[in-house]
Amino acid sequence: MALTISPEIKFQLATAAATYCYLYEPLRVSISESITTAQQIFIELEVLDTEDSTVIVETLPNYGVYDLNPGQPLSIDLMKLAQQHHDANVYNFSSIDDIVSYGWTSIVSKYKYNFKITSDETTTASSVVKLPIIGGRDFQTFNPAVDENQDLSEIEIQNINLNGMFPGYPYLSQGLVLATEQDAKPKCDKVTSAEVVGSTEGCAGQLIWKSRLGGFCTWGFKLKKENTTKKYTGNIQVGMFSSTQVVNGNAFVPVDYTGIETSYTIDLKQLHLSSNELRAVAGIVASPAVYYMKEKTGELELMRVAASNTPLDNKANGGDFSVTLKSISNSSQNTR
Amino acid sequence: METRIEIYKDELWQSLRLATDAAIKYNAVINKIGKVSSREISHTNTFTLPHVQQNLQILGLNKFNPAAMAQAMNAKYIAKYYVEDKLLQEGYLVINNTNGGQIKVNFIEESLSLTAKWGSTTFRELLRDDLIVFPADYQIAIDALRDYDMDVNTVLTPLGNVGTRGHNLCLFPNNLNAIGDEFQIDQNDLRQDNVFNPYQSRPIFNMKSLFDLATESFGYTPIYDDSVDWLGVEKLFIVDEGGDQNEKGENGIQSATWPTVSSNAAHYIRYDSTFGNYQYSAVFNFPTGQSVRPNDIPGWVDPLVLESLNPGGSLGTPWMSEQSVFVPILESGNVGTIQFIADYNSTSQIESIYLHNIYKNPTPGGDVVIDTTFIFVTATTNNAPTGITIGTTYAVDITIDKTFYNTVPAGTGDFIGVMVQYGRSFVLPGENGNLSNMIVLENYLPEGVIAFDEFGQFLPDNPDLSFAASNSSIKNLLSNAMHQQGILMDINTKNKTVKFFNYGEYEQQRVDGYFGDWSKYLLRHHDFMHNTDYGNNYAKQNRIGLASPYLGNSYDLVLQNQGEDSKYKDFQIDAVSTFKDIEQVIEVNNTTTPYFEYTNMGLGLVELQGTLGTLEQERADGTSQGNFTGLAALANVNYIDIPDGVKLWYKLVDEAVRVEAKMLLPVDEIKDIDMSQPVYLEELGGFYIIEEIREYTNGQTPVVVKLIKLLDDYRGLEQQSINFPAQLSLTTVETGIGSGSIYYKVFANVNYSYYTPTQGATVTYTKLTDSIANGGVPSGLVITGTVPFVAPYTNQQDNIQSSAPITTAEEGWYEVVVEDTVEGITSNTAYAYLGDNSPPPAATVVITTNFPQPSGLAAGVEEMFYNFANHVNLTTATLTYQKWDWFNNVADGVVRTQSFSITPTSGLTNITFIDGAGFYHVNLTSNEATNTAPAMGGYFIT
Repeated sequence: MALTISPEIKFQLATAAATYCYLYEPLRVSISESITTAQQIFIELEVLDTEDSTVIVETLPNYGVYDLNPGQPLSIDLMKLAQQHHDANVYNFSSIDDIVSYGWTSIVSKYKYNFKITSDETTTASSVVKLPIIGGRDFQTFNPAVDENQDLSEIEIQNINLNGMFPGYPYLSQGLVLATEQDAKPKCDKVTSAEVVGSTEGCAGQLIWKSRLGGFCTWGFKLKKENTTKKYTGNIQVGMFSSTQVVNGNAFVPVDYTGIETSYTIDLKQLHLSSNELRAVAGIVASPAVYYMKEKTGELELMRVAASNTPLDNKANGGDFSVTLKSISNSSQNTR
Repeated sequence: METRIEIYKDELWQSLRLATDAAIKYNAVINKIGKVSSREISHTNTFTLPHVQQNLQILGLNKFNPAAMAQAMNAKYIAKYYVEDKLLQEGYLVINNTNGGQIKVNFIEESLSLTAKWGSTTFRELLRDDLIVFPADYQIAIDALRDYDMDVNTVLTPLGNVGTRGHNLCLFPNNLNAIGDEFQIDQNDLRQDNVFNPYQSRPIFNMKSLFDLATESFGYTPIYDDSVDWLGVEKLFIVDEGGDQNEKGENGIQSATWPTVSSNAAHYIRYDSTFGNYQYSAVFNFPTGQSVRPNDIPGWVDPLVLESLNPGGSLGTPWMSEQSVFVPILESGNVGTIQFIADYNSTSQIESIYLHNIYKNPTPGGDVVIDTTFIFVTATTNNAPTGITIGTTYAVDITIDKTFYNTVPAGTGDFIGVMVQYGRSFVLPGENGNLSNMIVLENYLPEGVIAFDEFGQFLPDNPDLSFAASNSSIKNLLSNAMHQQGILMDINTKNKTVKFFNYGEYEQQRVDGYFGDWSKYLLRHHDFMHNTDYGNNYAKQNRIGLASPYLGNSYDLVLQNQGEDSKYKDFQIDAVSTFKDIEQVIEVNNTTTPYFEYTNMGLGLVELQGTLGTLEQERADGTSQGNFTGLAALANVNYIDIPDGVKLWYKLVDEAVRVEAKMLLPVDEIKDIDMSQPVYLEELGGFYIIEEIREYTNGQTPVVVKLIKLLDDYRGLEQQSINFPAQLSLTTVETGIGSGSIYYKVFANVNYSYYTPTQGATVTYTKLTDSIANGGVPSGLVITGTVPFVAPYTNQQDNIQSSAPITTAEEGWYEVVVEDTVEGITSNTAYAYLGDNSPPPAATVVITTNFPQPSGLAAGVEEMFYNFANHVNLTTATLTYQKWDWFNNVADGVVRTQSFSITPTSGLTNITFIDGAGFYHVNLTSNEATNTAPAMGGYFIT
């Protein structure tokens, strides 16, 4: 006389006690209603504050409404519902200190989601509480069980110790807490390697990027090349000359475009990375947000990765890591 | 500088997130000249929103809840459309679909919403809409229309004008034949001399009212431009089709059978000993719902015959407490019949029927007034009056045609009902005079239903004449009305106005100076596309008229500018598709008031010609209600000539060239664009009508503008020339001439505008005591000069020049003004300064070590150069210094202060730095300035 909720993939969890999962991985649950006359399944989405899960931010009745195929269980991907509710606008950082301050909302969701599942026959809700990590793994690294010990970046997976690697530059260290904690906000700390006089490591700047595994990665570079590019916008045809005045003017060449846009690219290169280090930084191509940190002071600029190269070759022990970044913040001026 | 859409939801304006490349394209269009019979308005295209959480939340899109999703998809949000942070349009946002992570939406400009209402509402529905707030005068007119008193006993009152507008909403009665052969024919198939039967007339509706109501009913104010002959429009009337047909069923009449009442005993029995038989009398009883008891009727008195047949009330007065007064259904007038049926147990065929018709007393509180009709029936005959039939199908079979009650007895009030008293004589013993199985069959016209009798006369006495308003949509009617008149329309949703005009307005606007100069927006080096492709709706000879034109009633317009080689086809019919012409015209040769009678069975258009003289109002049965005058006389819309708007339309087609040009239009030009104004384009050689601005994005994206050349002297207004008044405009220029400005000049720069000067204008330079800002007034010095006048009469200069050097008397502020005494015009006033009016230089102080130092100075004594420059009133100076650790950049001694001589104001002086040789920070400060520290921050004192 009740609903039975079971995850379809072994070792994934669908329990009333909060557990972790990845937001952009499927979390399909099979919902069975023992009462055969039931016709519909309802999901009420109870949104809890991750910093204090006793606070119900909002309750959305009938967030999901599904017709039942009589006698058949219903399969629902709970993370699809969470994805629809999730506000992905979380990459608003101007410095590394901002990430330390509130960047945890880009590591795990601001909200724990309590999926309260009922049917038109069973009004007592069955709860599944999930705290999604904002990320998603590929098939090769997928592991159904996700808990607070989950590695949140490729650098953690490869066990790379950043301490002292780029003297004077700060890097980020993060870790999850128990999902059932009332304050389940993850830790996110800034650690600055000690200055080393004369060191040129990281002198070309450092990249901080959001790993697809949920956390942040940091890497410094020695070599840098900058390029500024421009684009004329709007083609308009003009004559050979125009006059500065209606009469008695001087000849001038008029603009045949309506504006100019300028942007820039940065090529960064770090030589001689080990194979493990290359594996650690290879995930930059899948990063949703890559920041360039020009100075040790930690100011960040969000940029697009135009290309990156991490040559993993089993015949070579490591290689060079290079990244080409393109500016997002373009400047433009109108001429007409 | 951005494009954005905001929607009003949950009592908030919420901004939707747009994709970077999702430019919303706006189309401004007045009407495409190639589309003769339809009208277009501005709109935007479909565009796409990104599928981001912000948009999903604002729009309420939840794909996991189908009901919520459907609700969101069906929503229509009030929206504002901004381009470059400027409000371009207001309207509505609707979601078309969500597809592949995109939300496809459409911004509907508010004007489209208005036309959508026009499209979904028929004119009849509009008049019958109880929710719309009509203008007060129209509400009165509509009320009068919908509750028209069509008394069959009095002369009908014509519907009046709408307030003070000078025209009516509906013309009724009128002499237009909208019903066919029955019109003005009586029951004997005869047309009577000087007689008119208005009950056979049908309401027709004023075209100008259509314009009024289409706009004002929806919160817009119409602007009726003078270019259209609105007095002519006010004479046009729309005739609905089906004027000869009832609104419901065969004739709109419905039947009702009331429940049977089983029996009622006779209240009167008399035995006739002579013949040995009986005389009986009984009263019909009726079901409760359709009858009343006399006991319940205030002021009831028994009909005399009841009393006389019941002497002394020996059998009592049972009818008083019985449902004995039948109340017929007369809400829609005396339409239909009442049939009283009953069984009777007698072979006698001598019947006495008393119909007691009960009326209220016109005097409040008075007794009821009873009008009794007695009918005596034998086996072969009866004396039933007209309107009452005695049948033989049933034992008791009495039928009253309700028109029987059209004749109202004198001294009566409202009709209450009828009491039916029935009796027979010569009833044999063993029979009885009781009524049994009493049934009433009633035919009636339901309230609000329009129906006509066999002569085409209105059956209801209180008809809702809005039934004759067309069931075509407002949009269709308006569009055809505009087609017929050659009218264009510009809907301004911000000002909530709808302007109706024709192509002639463009020339008027040009002559009045109301046009935009778009020369500077034209991308003049882009190729222009010239053509005269006005579509396939035109020919060398165009036959213009209404649909199904009456013989010869059309206008053949020949495109005069087309030669033999014209690409146009030879012949084309341009008919106003919705409105038919008349079908027939006959001359009614009345001896007193003759007239022509036109037939238009609709949907058609007719024209009011005037009013008729005296006629007698008669119904088809010959009853007369009296004489009247002023019957509206209608005629066909005469196409011996056509409206100016149509002529001008064709003149453009015949003579004007179209141009497609690219422009960079600032959003300020387009956000409040008045499409009824022409634009001037220097490169294209004149004034143009904007036909369409296609897919406008923003001020940086070229947009295609379709233009039609405004013809020279289009309406014959050319000779009036542009009415700008002659004008002198003045600017002044101040300048100093020669090294160190030895002497100065003030130039008066003059433009002669909108006239040709015949002499040089006089320029007057009046010296002021100070600037105007400081309250300067004329000082007494006045200098005059003459401005030359050389074609093209622009930038004509005069000047005054000072002495070298300038004198105090000359230097100062001047008020300058120019006057053309022949033309009698004066320029604007300008002010200029003759002389050097630049502000004085700022005071400066300099102190620095001199190089080389003279020999022999003691350690810590330094020769310093100093200078106090540009001081207005130098009074004091102070020297401060402090020994400083240059290497560590910290103080190495205390601050020392001493006074400093200000005379002379510049020179060399020895200063003793009492802390000995070393590096010092040194400051020399006067009462007006302080020196600037050197690059090193101080000086090495040896």
